[in-house]
Amino acid sequence: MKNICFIIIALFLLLSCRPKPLDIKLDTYEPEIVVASQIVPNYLMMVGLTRSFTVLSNAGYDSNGDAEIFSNLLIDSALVTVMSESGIDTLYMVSPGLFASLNKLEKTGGSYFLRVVDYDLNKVAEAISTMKENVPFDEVVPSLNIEDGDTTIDIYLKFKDIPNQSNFYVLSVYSRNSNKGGLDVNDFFKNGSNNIEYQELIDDKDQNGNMLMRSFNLSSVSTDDSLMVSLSNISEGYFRFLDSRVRSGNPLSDITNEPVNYPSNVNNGLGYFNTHYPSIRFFDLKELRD
Amino acid sequence: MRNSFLIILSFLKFSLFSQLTISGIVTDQESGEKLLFASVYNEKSGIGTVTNQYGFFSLTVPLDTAAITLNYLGYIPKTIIFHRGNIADLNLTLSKASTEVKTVTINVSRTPQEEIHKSTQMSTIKIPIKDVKYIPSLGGESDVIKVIQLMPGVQKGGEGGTGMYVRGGDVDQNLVILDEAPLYNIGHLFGFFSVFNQDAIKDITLYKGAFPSNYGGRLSSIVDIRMNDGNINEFHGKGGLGLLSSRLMLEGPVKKNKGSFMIAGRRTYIDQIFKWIGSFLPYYFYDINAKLNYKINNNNHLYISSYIGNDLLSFDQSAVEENALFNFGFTLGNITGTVRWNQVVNDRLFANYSLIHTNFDYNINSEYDNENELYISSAINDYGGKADWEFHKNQNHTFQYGAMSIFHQFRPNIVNSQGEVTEYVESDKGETLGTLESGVYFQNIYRPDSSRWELRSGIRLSAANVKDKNYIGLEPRFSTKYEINSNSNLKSSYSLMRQYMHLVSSSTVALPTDLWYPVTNSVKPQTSHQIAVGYSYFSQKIKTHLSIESYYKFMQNLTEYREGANLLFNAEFENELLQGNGEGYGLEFLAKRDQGRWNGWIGYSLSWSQRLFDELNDGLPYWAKYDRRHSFSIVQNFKITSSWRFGSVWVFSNGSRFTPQIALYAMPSASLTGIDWIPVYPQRNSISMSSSHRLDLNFIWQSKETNKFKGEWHFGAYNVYNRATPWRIELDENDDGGFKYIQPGLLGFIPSIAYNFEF
Repeated sequence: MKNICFIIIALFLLLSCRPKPLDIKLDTYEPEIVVASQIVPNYLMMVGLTRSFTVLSNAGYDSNGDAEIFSNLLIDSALVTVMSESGIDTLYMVSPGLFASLNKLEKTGGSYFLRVVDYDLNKVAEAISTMKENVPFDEVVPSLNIEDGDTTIDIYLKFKDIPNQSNFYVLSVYSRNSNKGGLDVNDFFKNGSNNIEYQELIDDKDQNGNMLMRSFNLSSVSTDDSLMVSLSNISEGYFRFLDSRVRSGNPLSDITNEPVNYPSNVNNGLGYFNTHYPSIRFFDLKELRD
Repeated sequence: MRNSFLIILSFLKFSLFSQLTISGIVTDQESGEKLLFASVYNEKSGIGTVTNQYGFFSLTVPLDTAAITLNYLGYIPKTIIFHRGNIADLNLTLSKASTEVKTVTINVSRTPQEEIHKSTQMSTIKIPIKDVKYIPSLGGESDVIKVIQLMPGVQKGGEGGTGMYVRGGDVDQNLVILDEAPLYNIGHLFGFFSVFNQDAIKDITLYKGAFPSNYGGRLSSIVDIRMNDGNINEFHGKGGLGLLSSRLMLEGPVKKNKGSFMIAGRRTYIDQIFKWIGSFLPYYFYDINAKLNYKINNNNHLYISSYIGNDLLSFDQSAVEENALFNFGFTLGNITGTVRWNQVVNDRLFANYSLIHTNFDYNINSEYDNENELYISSAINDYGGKADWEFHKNQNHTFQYGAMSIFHQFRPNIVNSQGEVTEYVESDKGETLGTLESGVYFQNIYRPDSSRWELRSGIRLSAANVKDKNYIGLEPRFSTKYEINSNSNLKSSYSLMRQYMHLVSSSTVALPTDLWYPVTNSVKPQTSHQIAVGYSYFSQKIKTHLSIESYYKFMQNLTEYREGANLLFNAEFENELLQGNGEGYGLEFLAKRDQGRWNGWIGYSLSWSQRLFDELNDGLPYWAKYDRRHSFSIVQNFKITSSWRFGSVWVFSNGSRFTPQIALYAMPSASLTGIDWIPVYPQRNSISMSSSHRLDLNFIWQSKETNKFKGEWHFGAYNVYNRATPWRIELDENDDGGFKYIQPGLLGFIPSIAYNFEF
């Protein structure tokens, strides 16, 4: 009887075939110019330029970190200009995909108009960004925290919110494994020696002009490392861009089936052109230890 | 087998205005079952009415009236001739014809669709339970909700699921009530089967618009399902054996002609079969429907009914692997209870009083390595009461009024964790939220003398009291009918609906983690305004109802989630909710024949459904996920011989919408060394999946019917030509090393066999 039952079930399972999946045709994707930028205080403005690519290409959907694939996305034939009150700066190519200004572009409240002409794509992308007022730290105090033989770093810091306006801040703590003092920004796109230890996006809603304080612990930093604590007053648009990165980084969000669309201020392109001017404090943790 | 009507004319009297009022409750003579929406009319004057949802009618006719006719689908119409002043308190027994006579007499039976045609009611579909029984179904499991999904204006969700999207609405905008108690989960097996046991149900009504004022609480549809009362005269049973589950219903008198019981149970036994053959499938579901009814006297009737259903998964890895240390399980189910008292107050006034309780909860538990434990649960408990009165003032006016109040107690997201898992999921007792939802309503059905017009106008005042906040709002409802001629009507309606709770779902399939959540200080009630106009035609010759309706629905305060929202284990998930607007509009066509040797329907919907949220899709309007432009269904049931029947369903619909990832780009990582890959998407829901179509067949062989036993074999096939109905998209490798999107179907050709019986 068991066998008969098994045969009946097996027969129905066999007959229950899975249908052949249907294809779906999407419009051909046209690559777009992708913009990234960073101000290095008292030094220069750097603009990273790459191209987007279709996930359906044989470039490799999950080829994260593949240098050969990535090198094909770097823009190396382009005219890149930044127009500001002080005139038009034509950025020079430091390396494929990385362009830098000859002049310091650091005027608070100033508007910067970026124009990229990609000769290979035959496309033009434009973006405009206003440099927000720099917000200095009032105090940044790192201290050693020794518990059960483990040493971690406590950070206490405070800064004053700019009153009577909506502000958005990004507070970041970077470490370098060797005590080299500065942050490695020679190439956005290569794996360098920086580590991000802490990042917080701060919306000053209900904090008009208040002193904002933060206290947190860094558990993975060694006393041989150096730390850079950075605070930037950023635009709301760039805040949303960074917030999208945080939200899409949650592995549970995949289950919601709803995509995270990153905002962009680039016309006819992707990415974000920002001109925030960070306040920076460096700490050599070796000195703290000694 | 002899069937007949029993009509209890509880009051018959002469009015001061030379009119006669006849009232009573129409029942099936054999079983004593109340016949809902049966027609009662005087052929000479054309004056008539239908029994209400409790089987009661009151008909005021001219004094010289000497006869009334009773009519109900599947029963022989009966004209009762009486002598004025001489027939008070009569019980009239009406016999039903034998099988041979049935074919002749059935053509004069009135169907529920004919009653809808004749009334102001529009956007409403009555589904005879026999339709459910003979329509081909997945795995041979007859399913009320799957039949509703075949109706125009109702879009299904994913393939095989019980999700319903009515006239551009969302899945949480449907109020499904079973004997007046709301059900929060209507699906077993992740929604592949509905919780309704066909043998326990006697009536199904779907309202898509033109909502009567006694209903409220959801924007898009009301599905009102009534359980059998139980045979008051004789002991009987029904049941069925299927591939996936079996069921049995027993009914009979508790005290002959006074009270009866009905109890029906269903369980999947596939877990037991797998166990028997040495395999392992640790899942099953069951449900139980039970009802008691007791006739206190001719004017007072008491009913007690309950539903209990559960899905259970219990996976113990040690059962398949020695020394394994992983256990996982969940339970998910509803319990409802209704105590109802029907009172015929006098010949014109009928009252219904109900006490209602619903419990819905889920519990998920997992244990690993005897040290790590995770327990998640969520629950809703409803305690409510309602009172409804129906006053038939005269032939021109029927007033319906009443009040309801229901206390919802929500306990979402209770988490208990132990061991290392606490690093990822912290214990949380969960906040208990209470909402008191109330409503009062008044409705008048006005039928002017010698006029082609009929008007139903109503108002409902609804309110919800939540923590520190009261929401209150008026809900006007109107519907009109203009009789073009004896066969054709024009209808129109307007309804405003309010909804004080919503579903927080973390995925597009029914998961145990889906949460119902009340309105709060920051999450406002949803509202909808719906207007509809339609043309209704009923052919007496071929007993077919044809309706064409067009509607526009505007919805406010719909809920969606922020992009990248994390809803699992998130006690602060209210912060992830967004509110915005939506609209649905379209055209629906239905041609339906409920009786005869060949019956069935053809349905077609042309529809649009859009959403507008400030924080989604750059603030631009976008199509709803289940915006399907065209949907088409042909459902037929043909009696080939006295022994054989043949049923078929062919459905076509455009695909649902999705937002595929189309590109990637690189941005410097947060550390400013190295890159992050950022996905690029087109506009939200801008791409449609492929259209789908499917043919299901069912052959039924009925054994020779005896007085004591009747059996039926069902030989069915789902998706006969094995075509994929896209339910998701996947990336697949191309021949050239690139990739393409493909749309797999979930269910292919599935044969089924089932045996149903009655005794």
